[in-house]
Amino acid sequence: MTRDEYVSNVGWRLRDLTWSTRRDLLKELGAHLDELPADTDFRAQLGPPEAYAEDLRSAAGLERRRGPIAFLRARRPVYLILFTLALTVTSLAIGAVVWIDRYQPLVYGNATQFPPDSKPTPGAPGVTVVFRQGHPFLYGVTISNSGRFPVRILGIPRGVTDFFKARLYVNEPNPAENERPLERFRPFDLHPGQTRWLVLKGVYACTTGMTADGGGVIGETVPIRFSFLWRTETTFVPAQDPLSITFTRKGCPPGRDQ
Amino acid sequence: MDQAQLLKGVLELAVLAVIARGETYGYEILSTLESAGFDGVGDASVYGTLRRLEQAGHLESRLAASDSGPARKYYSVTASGAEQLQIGTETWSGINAAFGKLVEP
Repeated sequence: MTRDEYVSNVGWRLRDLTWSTRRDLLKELGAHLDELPADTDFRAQLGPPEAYAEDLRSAAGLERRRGPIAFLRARRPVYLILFTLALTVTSLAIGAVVWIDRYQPLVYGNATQFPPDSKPTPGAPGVTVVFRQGHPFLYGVTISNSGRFPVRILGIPRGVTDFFKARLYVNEPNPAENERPLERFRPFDLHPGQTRWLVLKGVYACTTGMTADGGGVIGETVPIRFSFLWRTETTFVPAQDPLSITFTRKGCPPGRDQ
Repeated sequence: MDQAQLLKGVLELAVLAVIARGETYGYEILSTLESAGFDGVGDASVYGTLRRLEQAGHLESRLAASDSGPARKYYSVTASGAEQLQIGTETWSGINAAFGKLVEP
């Protein structure tokens, strides 16, 4: 057994001691072994490493230490610091990913534009409009960014109750309520505090592939496709006033007007 | 009776006595003890005792370069160590005298 092997073996059996105590004891043991003649059989001279460690522990009055605190104190401080740093950085990175994954700052902007011929729904919130195939259709909502970072608005995906063909329009940020100059939608960044109109303009049509029996409702929640950093998803922004579409005759067969 | 067990009881006092003769280091303390007849005491016991005495404030140490290898840790007795040695020596002498009376023919 070489000098280093002997020291290492003793050190292994004292691994529960604080790092500085173990370092001092092993340093002194190393110095002692260096004093011995070069051809010394350490095991024969000093006894087995486990016995040496026990004698040393007993004579020095060093009790065996157990538990998480002892485990931490037995580690080299610089390793503990590095480990803590790595743990902190990893935790922050995980926290950031989780936060980014949940970041959804879009809220209803407290204004809705309904089709011109809509009427308040009797006994329920929102308005009702009668489906008239080929007639003009218009529906718009405002959305706001209530968060601290901008998100990119990608559009409004089609829903199963979209009984219309329409194009999406958007206006400039933070318009006065009565001034809504619209332009064709292009994806845009909605910055914190900004509000914008998203308006669907087109005609009533049976384009959903769904046979409606009695009507459909849109606007309880508004689906908004958006992206933030690497994430793209559709969120459903709760709006206040739903738009109910009713039918004068039964159903709206799929592809009827395609 | 195992000599090592008997020696362990007085090892602390013996180590203090060796160091009280002058500043010295571990290997030299071991050699002095062996020359004096403490050859049944293990190296680990001596080094452990040195650490315990130092922790108790009876010894102080300093590192000094060595011609033959790494730095040596030199020990010297503090005032508290000297007092401990004096008390221990008196106690030991008392025990020795008492035991002598017991085994006198």
